[in-house]
Amino acid sequence: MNISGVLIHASPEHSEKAAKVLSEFDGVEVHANSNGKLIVTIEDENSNALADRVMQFQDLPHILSVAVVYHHDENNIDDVIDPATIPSCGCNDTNPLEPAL
Amino acid sequence: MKLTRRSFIKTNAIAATAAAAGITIPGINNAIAKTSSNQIRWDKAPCRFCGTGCSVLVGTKNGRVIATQGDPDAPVNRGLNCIKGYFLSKIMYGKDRLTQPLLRMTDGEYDKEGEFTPVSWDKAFDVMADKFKTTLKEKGPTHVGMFGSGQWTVWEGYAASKLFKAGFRSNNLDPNARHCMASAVGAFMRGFGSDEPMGCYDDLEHADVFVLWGANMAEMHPILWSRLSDTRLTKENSEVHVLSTFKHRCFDLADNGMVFTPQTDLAILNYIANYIIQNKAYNKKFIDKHVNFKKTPTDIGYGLRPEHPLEKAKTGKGGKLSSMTFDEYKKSVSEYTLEYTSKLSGIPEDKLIKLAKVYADPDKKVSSYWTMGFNQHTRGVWVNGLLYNVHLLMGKISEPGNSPFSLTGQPSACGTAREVGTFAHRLPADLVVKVKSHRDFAEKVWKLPQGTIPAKPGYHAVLQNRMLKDSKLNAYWVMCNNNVQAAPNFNEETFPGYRNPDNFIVVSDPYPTVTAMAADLILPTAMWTEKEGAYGNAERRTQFWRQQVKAPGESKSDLWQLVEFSKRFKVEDVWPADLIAKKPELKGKTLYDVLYKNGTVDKYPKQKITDSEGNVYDNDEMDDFGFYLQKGLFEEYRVFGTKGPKKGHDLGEFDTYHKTRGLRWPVVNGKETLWRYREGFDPFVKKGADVQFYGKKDGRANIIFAPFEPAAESPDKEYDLWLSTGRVLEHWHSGSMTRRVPELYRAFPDAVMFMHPKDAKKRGLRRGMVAKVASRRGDIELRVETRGRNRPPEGLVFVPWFDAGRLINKLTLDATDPLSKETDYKKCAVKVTKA
Repeated sequence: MNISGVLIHASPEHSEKAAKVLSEFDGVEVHANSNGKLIVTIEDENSNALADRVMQFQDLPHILSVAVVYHHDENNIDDVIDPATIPSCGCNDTNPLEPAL
Repeated sequence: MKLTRRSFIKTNAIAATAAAAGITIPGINNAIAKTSSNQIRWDKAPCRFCGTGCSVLVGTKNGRVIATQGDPDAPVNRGLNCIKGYFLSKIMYGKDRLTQPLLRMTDGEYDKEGEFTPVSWDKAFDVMADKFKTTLKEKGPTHVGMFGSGQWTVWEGYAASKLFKAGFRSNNLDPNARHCMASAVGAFMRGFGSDEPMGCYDDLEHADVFVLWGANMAEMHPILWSRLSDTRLTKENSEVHVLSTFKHRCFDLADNGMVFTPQTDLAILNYIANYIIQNKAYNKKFIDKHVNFKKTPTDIGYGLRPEHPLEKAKTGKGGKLSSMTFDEYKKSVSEYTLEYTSKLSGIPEDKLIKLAKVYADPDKKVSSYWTMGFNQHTRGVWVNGLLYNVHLLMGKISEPGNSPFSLTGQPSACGTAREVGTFAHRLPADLVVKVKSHRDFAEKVWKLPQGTIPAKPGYHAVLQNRMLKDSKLNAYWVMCNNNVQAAPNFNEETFPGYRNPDNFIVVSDPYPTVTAMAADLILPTAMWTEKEGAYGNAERRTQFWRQQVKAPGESKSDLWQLVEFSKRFKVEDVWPADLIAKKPELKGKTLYDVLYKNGTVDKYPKQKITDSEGNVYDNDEMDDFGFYLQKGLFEEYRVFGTKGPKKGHDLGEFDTYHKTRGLRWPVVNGKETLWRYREGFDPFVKKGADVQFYGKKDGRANIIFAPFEPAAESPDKEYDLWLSTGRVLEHWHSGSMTRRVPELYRAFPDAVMFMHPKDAKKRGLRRGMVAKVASRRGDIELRVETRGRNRPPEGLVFVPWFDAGRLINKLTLDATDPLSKETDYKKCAVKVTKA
């Protein structure tokens, strides 16, 4: 279980619209909108959701800034990061961390 | 049960977020219950990334950092955290962490062309000491050097400065902060005689108008941007003006967004000064009392190698200021008319007027922010200064809300690189090597014979690479940075020097970065909370943290490496006999004895490190050396501020900082200073002076006229596009930490080239296609991006530099500001074709 509290600033004149768009994401709720200041929670079973959502929110129209305030992860992440498990999204299939010397 | 717990946690999430936003939600109690499960120890630490200096709470369990969260008690970030800061706990746990020294060897012996082979620290230091000793003996101190960091802790920078400037008697010590802050430093010294901003982050709430000059705060300083956004959304009649050479996320909040032709910021600022004077809006009383008018030499070249045609063609030199009258200044800026400036910059006239008006309005409080757009500029010192001119003409400085503010990119560019003075020309607390009284003072504090520190400034960052290539710098230690990726002109200037057979290159790093892979010896390094540390952020705030966990394998902190290595040198190995004769009691001693076990640094005995709740923390350096090394170094260093020749650099006592969320210097009687040079805020201002720029002898700041001059390399028929380089939100600088966090990597895996759709179409390219981008110095291939967060105008492409697989610095030119020696990474000419 993963629950986060995120503070989002949106342009006040479009903030209702922005709040609606945000609410349409799975597990996302907007609890308050104070002149463009949105109090948002993100819930998910998947621990990647927070990062993915925050990154998606930054690219939405009328969103000015996104800051993480609170995060609770019931199963504490204790994994070791293996570069080999990082999905390659780039132009080539070599190890993404390999310097191009 | 689960539902109940879920709703409980969710309520906490809402309450915490609402509290950080300063709003109340009916039915939600703002008192947050502690939800952290037991066994997690929470302690504060400043973030490892940018210069904002957010405080985070670091959660440690079973000897491992498992979580970080924004620190609700931190005045900087008030509980907020950006996405990079949220993933801080993961930066230490990349699978390819280096855990033992690696030396290039063939058949058991060091070989520059050999393969990296694990060796012991003893063996590593044996080989390294031999190379340094041989070089010192055969070629002299100017042939050894170090490239340091604005990410070093304060005491690491200080220990390095002592080891090189005093121990090895080489001023060839420069930090990577040369690439980001040197122009800001130059302008502070020329304008005010004292480094670092007069204002602080509190101006983000006090200002009515914000102007961004070459700073994409939304991505690069997200928490400050969040505070700025908050003010813009809640304060009536507040405005945001954004200037950049391409549209970026900050433009979404802009009331006046302006895209200008690269380099013309010089003209725009002179236009604003002209507007203020033409409209008689300037603050005559302030100018008469607090300002001198000066001009600077012009046509001073571009900091390239002396044989470069641009250097041969220059007619002026240096930055020696000469006086001018107000009327002469008025005449100089009068050339920058609205029509001329609009045409040159490409900014419509009405937008320029709107911008000039907010500066000229005495009732509007204006805070200006800039980062690399100003600093990475062949006229970086000039352009920083031209903005001070505007603020000084209006007297809009050194008071709440009126604040020209230079943001920083590294967590301790201020605290370590600048305040400790790890630059090739500097000593702590704004002292410089070329002034004898400054050297005398340093030698006295360090208990060294007079004449130990050389008077001639050493090689700066870009010059170090040139000297490596030219075989004039042969034993070289790179610590806490990734300069092979970061330095300009990789193909022609950087890489050849590292692989030059005459040179021995040591790189200390936690990860196998581009730089580490180009080295001859790699030293595995403890990072961030694997050691006790101190950083100084952009608003002069010094923040401490305790060691939270052990470093993996045989990794050791930079501090341990510097101090331990000093044991390998006797003074006879490094100093001439006549110098030793001045202090015969140093005979036969090691540099460790002379520099660190000197009676001051080893003054504080080993002790138990605890917090207010009684938690106990490690201090591995204290265990290894047998005394509280960090405290001893800091207390010795502090003397430069409290007793040194330059006023107003006082820091508080070591123990204080462990108890606070940082303090902004000058710290006098335990009290921090929010606005410098203003009576009532700054204790160093003489009573009745109102404002006193006491860094200058007469207490007056300098308005310095400088004209528009073109960039070192502009687009032409063949190389027909501007290239600007920079950063993205998800990655910090060269990406050596953030690219090892899977979530951040996935969010922005590889560098792309942002370009205008029409420019793409003209070249037969579409979004997502692979293109080749080439300059006169090199080329790389990467995908085209015509949408999204950055929208360049026609004629300019933007490429971030975080990607070790796509080294944009193969293309950049090593043109620097001749005054600050900082590279212009924002302007060179390239062409783009289908790959």
